[in-house]
Amino acid sequence: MRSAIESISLEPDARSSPFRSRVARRISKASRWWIAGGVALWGSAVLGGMGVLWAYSEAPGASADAPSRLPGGIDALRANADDKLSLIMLVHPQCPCSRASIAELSRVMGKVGDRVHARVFFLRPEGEAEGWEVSDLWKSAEAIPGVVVTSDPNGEKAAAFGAKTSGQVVLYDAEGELLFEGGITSARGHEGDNDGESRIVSLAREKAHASGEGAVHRSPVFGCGLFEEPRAER
Amino acid sequence: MSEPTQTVADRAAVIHDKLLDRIHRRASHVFAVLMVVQWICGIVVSLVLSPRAWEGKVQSTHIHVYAAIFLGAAISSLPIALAVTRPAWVVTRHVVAVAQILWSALLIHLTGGRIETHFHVFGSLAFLAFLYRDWRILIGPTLGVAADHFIRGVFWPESVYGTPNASLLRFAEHAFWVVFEDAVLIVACIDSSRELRDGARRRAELEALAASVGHELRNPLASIRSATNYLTKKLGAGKDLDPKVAGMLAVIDREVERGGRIIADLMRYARARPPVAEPCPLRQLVDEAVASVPHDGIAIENHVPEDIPLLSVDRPQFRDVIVHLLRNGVEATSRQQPAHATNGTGNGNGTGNAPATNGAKGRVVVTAHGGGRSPWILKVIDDGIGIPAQSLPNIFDPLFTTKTTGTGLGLAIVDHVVRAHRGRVAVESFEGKGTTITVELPAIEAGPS
Repeated sequence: MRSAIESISLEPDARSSPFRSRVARRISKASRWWIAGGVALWGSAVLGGMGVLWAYSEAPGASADAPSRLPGGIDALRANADDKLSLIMLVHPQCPCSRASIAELSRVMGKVGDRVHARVFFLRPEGEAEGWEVSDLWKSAEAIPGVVVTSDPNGEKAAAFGAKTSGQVVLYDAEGELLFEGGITSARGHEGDNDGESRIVSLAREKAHASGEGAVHRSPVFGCGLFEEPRAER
Repeated sequence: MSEPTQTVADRAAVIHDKLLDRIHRRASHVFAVLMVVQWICGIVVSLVLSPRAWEGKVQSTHIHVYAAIFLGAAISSLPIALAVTRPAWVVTRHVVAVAQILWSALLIHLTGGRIETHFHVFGSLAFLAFLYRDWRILIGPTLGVAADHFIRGVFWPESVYGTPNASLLRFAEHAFWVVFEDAVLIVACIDSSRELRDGARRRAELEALAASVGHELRNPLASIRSATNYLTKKLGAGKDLDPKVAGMLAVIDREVERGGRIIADLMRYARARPPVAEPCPLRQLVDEAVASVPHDGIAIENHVPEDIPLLSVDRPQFRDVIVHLLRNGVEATSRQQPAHATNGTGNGNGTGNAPATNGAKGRVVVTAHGGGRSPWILKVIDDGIGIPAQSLPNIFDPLFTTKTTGTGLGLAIVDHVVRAHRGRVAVESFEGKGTTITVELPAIEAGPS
């Protein structure tokens, strides 16, 4: 039996193969090209996919053709004549993008809720049962202080305001003249600062009146179609 | 110490590279799992928040659902493939980093630009830095975020800043927060790298010290042994040697041998190298180990089946494991001797061994089963004095011993080698009755990590 002393080896352990670290490993030139090509292909595919997604996100729906004066029927719903503006939003109750529009409406009301009468109409398409329009969006809108939520059977109110896309907002001055039409989100389903909201807030704070020169503020509206028709292109 | 500094530096570099390699592999595996989790979360988010698109009464699957499934799969595919097949490559962690930021962008999109989802960006940068410890991989995601903001700031400014007329200051403001976090993470990564290098150097110096000690002591011990052998032969040749003198010479020989074992253990523990696997017949390996262990009158029995499948292990290291286990078993059984008289009266041991036979003072048995598609199980069973219950949690700790002699490194070496083979060691012991040590190695791919 070999003594422990004799078994002490001071020679480099022949079995200690050099540690094959990433430094010691050599990747062939051909492999590097394959790797680079694979990464480039992958990068192109994912960036292309992100591009398609962004393009969809930034594609607005058809703009409204709102009447320049507030239709009389709506005006009758105001309790008293006052100097507040009238804000109307038309919403498809199932549109996921309009969740952001409702959230932005909440912000608007938080800033200038005391200066506007706000009403949200939820579309109930022809043939659908009563209550079809009462969705999560309805409940979210209803929860905003100062907002009145109403059903829009057969889309009559949407048609009256020329709205084609869910999330459409129209703003009239105290005399019923059109000040603003458009959306209050920056992209489909995206919350956050946007031009439409900024316009509405500034108009409300100024207690603006229509200039009479036809200068109506407009912004793109992002959402599902209210009616079964092709979406207008940008 | 006679080791040249360059050797210590080289060894430190090898240790450092090995540690970094292990860190990178583990990080890649974590991110591979995270890529799958994020993909599933993306699909769930799209199905909950935006499952359908509408045109009046007509509904269709929302593009977000397709994006979550297919674009999400595309984003995760390459990182997962690289993390599983090439976890330690540089390109792997860079691809993982870029993919992580792409997931931030996709999740922000799927959740409708929620502010809360933007935390994913900052969380991802932190995960990448702390898991990989490589600050360079932050460059890709940071440039990606900057490019995304810049390009969209030019073509779709409202999507980034909420206004079509954003100034350059807004871009700078967004960039500032990312750069701020990057700066903190880079400092942390550099500090961590320095600690790893310092640790590797200390380890390399320890190994050099152990080798130097071994070198310095080897020759003196060999000289003492030679002198002892000479004296034994000279004094004992043709004469009756005084038993006391013979006893003292035996003590010298035994203690020198023990000193040599201590030095060998120290060097083996200090310079543990990565295992190099080869197919080994286990029964033969046990026979070799049995042959190199002093029996001290204890019967060591090899009950490993002849037909057990070949074990893929580092042969010398695993032989050492068996040697250590046998040695411990023999020593424990020797200390239990009064309960193991040759008349075969046993002590009612709790480890299943029959009383010793054939005049042996006790038994140590080696058994094994499994292999192939089942885990390997190797057992070394003795009916020695056992290990006190309060000592059991510490017996694999380096320098821990319940004996009055010994370094306390034997079981630490056993544990280290077995874990390097992706296995584990378990101990069952009853004081006064014996000990069973079980070594388990994983099935079929059983081998070193």
